[in-house]
Amino acid sequence: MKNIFSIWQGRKDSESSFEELVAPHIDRLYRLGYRFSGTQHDAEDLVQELLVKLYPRGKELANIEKLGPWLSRSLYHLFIDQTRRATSSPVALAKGVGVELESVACVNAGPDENMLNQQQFATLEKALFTLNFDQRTLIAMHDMEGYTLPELTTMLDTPLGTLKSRLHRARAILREQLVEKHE
Amino acid sequence: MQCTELHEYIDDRLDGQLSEVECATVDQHLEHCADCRRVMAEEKAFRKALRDMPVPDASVGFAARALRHAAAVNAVSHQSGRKHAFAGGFAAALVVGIVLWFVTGVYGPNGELLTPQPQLAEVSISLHETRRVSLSFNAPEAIEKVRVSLFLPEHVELEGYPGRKQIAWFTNLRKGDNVLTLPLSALRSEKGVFTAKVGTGKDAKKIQFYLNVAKPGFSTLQAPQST
Repeated sequence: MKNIFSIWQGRKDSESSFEELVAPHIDRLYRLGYRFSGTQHDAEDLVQELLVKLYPRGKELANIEKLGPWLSRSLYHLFIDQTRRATSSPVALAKGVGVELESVACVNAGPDENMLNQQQFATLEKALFTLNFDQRTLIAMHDMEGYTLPELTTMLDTPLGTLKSRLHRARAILREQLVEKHE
Repeated sequence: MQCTELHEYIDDRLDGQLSEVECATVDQHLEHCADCRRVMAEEKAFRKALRDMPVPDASVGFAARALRHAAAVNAVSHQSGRKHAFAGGFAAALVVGIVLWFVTGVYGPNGELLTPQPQLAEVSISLHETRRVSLSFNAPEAIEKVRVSLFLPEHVELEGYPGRKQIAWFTNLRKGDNVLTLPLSALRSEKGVFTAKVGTGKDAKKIQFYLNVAKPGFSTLQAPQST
């Protein structure tokens, strides 16, 4: 992150302070955006749009105690807005449905293992996009990105019981899909 | 504790939602039940697979670029009160579509305009050839200072802009159809997403399609898939 800050030396104080607050969270926001959208490009777009929206609120961000979860929650709501806009638009903006999944190599694995992993990941990734929106985002945030259930009750403003029930159902669907694909 | 009962506790056990006493009960059962240990091991492996699903790195310099863009957009927005006058209804009203042009002809307007579809349209072009892909934007009224941003996949170049993967400029839209014709050259056989955004920064319309570069001898131009 030092590189980012050094780029911005000499800028106005408001800019520096926004960057210092937000820059440490961009990697995690991007990861979450990728989990939501399924493509690098859409994830970057999502994070970019969030930063544009939050920039005028730099002073407010400085007073937020747990900025990381707050930013993740904002990203989640922005993604919901984008998805709604896309589905209600008269024009196909190719978001939210039928996302073509990127194939990502598993860098640390050997050639054979790598191939096997990619197949498994591809199957799992496709299965993820058969879940409904709430299930998929919840799996992304909890099972993939490690947000705890107590954190998610606040971030998603949803009771613990509802979250647990959704997770349980989503995992069951994923397992069914994996078994079907495997057979 | 019965096996069926334990299965109901597996999620809570792995999610850290059980009390110490409940954990001890579950663990005690697992110690003596090979079947349940197998179920638990499978569930752990499933969770691990989810956690380990790879995420590609963001593009080089993304964080710095995104921060710089946020500052720039807000600086422009701050200076230009006029932009806000049309920003609200702009994206909602603007209609965008892709018109695919062949050198030998043009698809009819009804065929090329994208309709809601579950997947991105795909345009196939030949290696080392230049093809024109036209983007059509329909504005409900004349709009000034609209930002147009193009994001090219690595394997494609816009003629006249070698090596540039992001190109952006401000322009004015006329009332009605505005067609932007892009001469695209393929550098290598690959498939990638082309994105164009038109709007006012915060409130932009986006259009995307796949550019699939086929090897010589396999040149085709496919109309967007409709469902």
